[in-house]
Amino acid sequence: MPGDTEQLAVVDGVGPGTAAAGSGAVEASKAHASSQPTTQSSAQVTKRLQSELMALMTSAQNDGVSAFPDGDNIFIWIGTIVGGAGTVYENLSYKLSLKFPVDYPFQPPTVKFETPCFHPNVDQYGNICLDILREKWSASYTVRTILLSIQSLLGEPNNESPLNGYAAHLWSNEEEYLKVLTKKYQEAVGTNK
Amino acid sequence: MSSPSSPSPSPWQVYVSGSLGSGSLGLGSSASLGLGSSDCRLAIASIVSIPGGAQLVSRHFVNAAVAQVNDELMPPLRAAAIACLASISETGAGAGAGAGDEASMPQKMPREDMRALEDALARAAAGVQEHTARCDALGEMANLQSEDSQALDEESDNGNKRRRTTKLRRMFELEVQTAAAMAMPSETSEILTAMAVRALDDFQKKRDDAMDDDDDDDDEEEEEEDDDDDDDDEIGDDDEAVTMNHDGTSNREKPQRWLPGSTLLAYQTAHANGAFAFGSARSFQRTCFHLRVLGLGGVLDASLGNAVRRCIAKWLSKRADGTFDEVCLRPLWRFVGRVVLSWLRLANHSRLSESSDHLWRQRLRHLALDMLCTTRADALFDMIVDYPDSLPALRDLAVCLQVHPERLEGVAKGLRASIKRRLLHPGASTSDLLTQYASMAKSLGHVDSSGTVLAVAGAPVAAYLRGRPDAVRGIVEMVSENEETDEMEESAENRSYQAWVESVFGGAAFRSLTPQSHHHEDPGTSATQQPTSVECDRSAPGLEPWDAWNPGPPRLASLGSSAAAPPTGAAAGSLTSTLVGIYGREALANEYRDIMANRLLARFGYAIDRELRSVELLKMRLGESPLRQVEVMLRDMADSRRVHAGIRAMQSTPGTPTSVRTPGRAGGTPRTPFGPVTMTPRPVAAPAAVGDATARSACAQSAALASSNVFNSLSATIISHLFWPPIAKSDEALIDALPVGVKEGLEAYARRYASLKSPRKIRWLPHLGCVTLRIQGASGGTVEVQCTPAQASIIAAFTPDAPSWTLSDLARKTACSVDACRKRATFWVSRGLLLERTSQSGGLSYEAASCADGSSGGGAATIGATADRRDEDGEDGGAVASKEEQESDNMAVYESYIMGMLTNFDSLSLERIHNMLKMFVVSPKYDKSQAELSKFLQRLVTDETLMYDGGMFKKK
Repeated sequence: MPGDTEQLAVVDGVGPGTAAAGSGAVEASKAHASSQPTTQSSAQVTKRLQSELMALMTSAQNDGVSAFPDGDNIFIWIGTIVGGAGTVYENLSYKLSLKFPVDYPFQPPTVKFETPCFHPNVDQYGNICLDILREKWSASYTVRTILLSIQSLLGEPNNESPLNGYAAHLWSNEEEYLKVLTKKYQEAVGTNK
Repeated sequence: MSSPSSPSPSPWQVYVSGSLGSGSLGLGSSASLGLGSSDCRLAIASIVSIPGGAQLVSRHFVNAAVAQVNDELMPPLRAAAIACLASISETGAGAGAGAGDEASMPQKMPREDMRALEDALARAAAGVQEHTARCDALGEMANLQSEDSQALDEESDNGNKRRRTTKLRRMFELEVQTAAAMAMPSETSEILTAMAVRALDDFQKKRDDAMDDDDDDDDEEEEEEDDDDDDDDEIGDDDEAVTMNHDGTSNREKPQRWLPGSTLLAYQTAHANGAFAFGSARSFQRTCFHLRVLGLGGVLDASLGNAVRRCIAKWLSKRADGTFDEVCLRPLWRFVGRVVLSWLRLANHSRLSESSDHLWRQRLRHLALDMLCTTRADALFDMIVDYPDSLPALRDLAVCLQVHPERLEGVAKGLRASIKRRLLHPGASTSDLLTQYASMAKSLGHVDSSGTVLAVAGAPVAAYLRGRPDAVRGIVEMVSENEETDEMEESAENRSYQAWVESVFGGAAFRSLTPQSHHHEDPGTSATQQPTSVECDRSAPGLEPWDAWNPGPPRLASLGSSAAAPPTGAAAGSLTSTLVGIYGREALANEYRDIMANRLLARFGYAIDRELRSVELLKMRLGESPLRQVEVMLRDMADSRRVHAGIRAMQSTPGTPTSVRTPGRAGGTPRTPFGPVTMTPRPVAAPAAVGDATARSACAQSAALASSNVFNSLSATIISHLFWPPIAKSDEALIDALPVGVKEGLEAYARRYASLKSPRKIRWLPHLGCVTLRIQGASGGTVEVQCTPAQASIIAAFTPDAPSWTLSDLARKTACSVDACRKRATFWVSRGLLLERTSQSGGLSYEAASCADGSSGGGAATIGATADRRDEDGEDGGAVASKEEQESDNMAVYESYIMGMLTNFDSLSLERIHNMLKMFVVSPKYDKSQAELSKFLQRLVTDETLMYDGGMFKKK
């Protein structure tokens, strides 16, 4: 069965150890893999997620990002991002949810803010406008890189395509922005608790 | 019919009272509370069975009974009333009535009592009279009564006996017909039993008394039997219509069926008189006979059985209970044969047929063994405690269980219960637990070679032991140090005992005693009732393989799966494998390795003969592979010796660059206020990993560096650290704290090693090994102390130039923490070589004991030096990293996961953390128990990394 063999080879090719495999090959095989998610590939995804978890756990704990599977389903994670030092988000901690598709890593996970986040690129439902989570997704990205990207997005919003116009408007006025942000954050954390 | 009342005391009453009138106190009191029909039955039972002791029945009983009779007019009550009357009359007659003196008795009776009785009887009879069919009977009784009283007046000698007998017979015919209308009550059995027990006791006593004089006894018995025969004949003469069969049936038709019985009873009554005692063999025998005739053979047999049971129980409680140092089977067997069985023959009127005699014999054997089994099994726990002194008792039990294999389960459960109650509690020390477990394995090996009992009873112990952290160590020490067993002797002894058992029971009898079901799994083996398993092999080496096939122990399904799989085959007999079974080979081997490592690292010399032997023995138990590391360790020792020899040899080669300066020249001999301290270090060296080889010099044998040849007194243990258990954290700085001479010696040693074993190098582990110090007091006394290098570094700091140190300075000088330094210094303080002083500021300081104290200090040191070094040296407790440290290291891998979890979840319960770790951690696979995790989390809480609040863990 040539089809199976090919698929296996592809999946192996983007296995955890070779996450940085050429994106060209990944692109070429993406359609095939996503169209036929088998149990075997699901096991592969689980394996990949487990190794990502391990990498995340063994990497430095103090870079402000963390994530862990939620409950007993390894396809749903909860992430935590602490705002980067030197940004207005410094010391603010946000929870996110990451939902991985069955054909991960060929498709990006769905990432949302669970803690309401006042940010130009985050809407009121927590949806994030970030290119690597959409059209620029690559199988070489990992949970850690996603979280780090979002962390840096906090400090450097893309005001060209805002989801939250008010935030984008305020961004230039740092003092005012910080005031609103702090208020919103306290509201969010207050409601969360 | 005529009035039943009679003015004079009627002799039949007296006779009745004599024989029947032994009511029991219990009966009396229960009857006085109100006579139900069952009470009546009881009363009847008492009439029939109980001899003597009627004095206990009160008049109150009679009145109550009679009143009841009047009220209810139940036929059975009549019997009860008569019984009461009978007992009362005996009360009246007094216990002092002479035995055999028939005539005198009624006369001794107080008149008024007799009158009262007459009245009572009259009332009773009057009541009963109205009761249709019974009227006639009573009337007749009354007639008889009056006739009899006349007869009594006339004569009181035996010549009157026959007449009275006839009358009485008729009377009792009526009486017993009434009684027979009811089923014989079960209570009778109890009463009969009491009677039989007494009889048996008397018999036993007599037997015991007659031990010396058997002939007399036999004569007496014969006489008695003759008498009985006469009596029987008499009866036959009396009543030709009744032909007695010894099995208790009569030729009469049913309505009259009871006639002969009643006749006999009455006859017996008359014959035995007021002093009738069942205790006398003859009368008991007769009673039994009568009872059989009455058709109560079944009840009688049951009662006899009970009596025998009690008798044996009594014997057992006297002989077997609490004494385990004597085999009870043989004496018990003798007792059963001589006393019980012959008593039963007597009770059965010596007319046991061949087959029923055999039956009794069989029953007795089973019973005796069964009871012995119970006695022994109840004390099994104590027997195990007393092992091996309790070996005889265990053998009893073994034989019992062979005959009664169905008892195995009960024995096992009982033992398990007592173990749980008496052993498995926090108060029992682990060593006790282990000892008991070992004795249990050994003793049960004698009892039950299939291992079933051990499997059932030992399972909780094993499970409990697993929860004791120090149990593994205990087991290993036990296993490695107690390899010598006298099992072989014991088995030989056992074999002879088995032979004896066979001979006692007689091969065939013994086999027939042993139920075939024991071997139902394999009919082929039923012919051989040899104990199974190991002993089978030993005692019957000639068996064919198929014959030696050994069915597994009986399934004890009811015990549930908690019972571990029983050890099988030869393993069942082996203590070591039992112990090993608690933990499994790997765990034991690892522990053994740790113990071995500590032992090897803390000693001088390279002698490992004992260890080698121990390892070889253990290999037989644990297999080769788990002990591979230990083998490597031992080989390291051997290699070290070779290397050491090589290094020493090198020195004599002139060309070898020997850069070792003598300590004296180097100023390396520490000069203390006591004089020079001579050190004989034995370092442990681990060759630093160069290439693939690692050796650690862990053992600094403190060489007498003062001597010209440093290598004579410096020897190193070179270890391949990959194969040794994790070594406690090295204290590299310590090497700088060593006296210069030692240090240089070590360096020289390392250089030579490097040249000898290039490219390997030695990395010293200065905190291991041991040092012998010869400390010379200023007064000339010399003290030799063996200690750890760390301790040596402390004492070496005290030189004539610096006779005292503050604690902190000393710690800095010897490159250790203040706490460790204090501990090490305490070692010397306890030996009288240092003095501890507390300065005004509260700081501690140490000072060399003054020179004048040299001799006394020396004395103290000599004593102290003999103490276990490891006890004193509390600082690391051993060369090998402690279990806790290792565990903590193992868990540390998961710490980041736990922290990651708690970053993303505000708080988690222990269980949740455990489950998530189980689910998501794949490499290294999370395989810890929740308890281990809990321990680890607690430590994180202690370290203030985590917070614990209301069952939830939180990140700080």
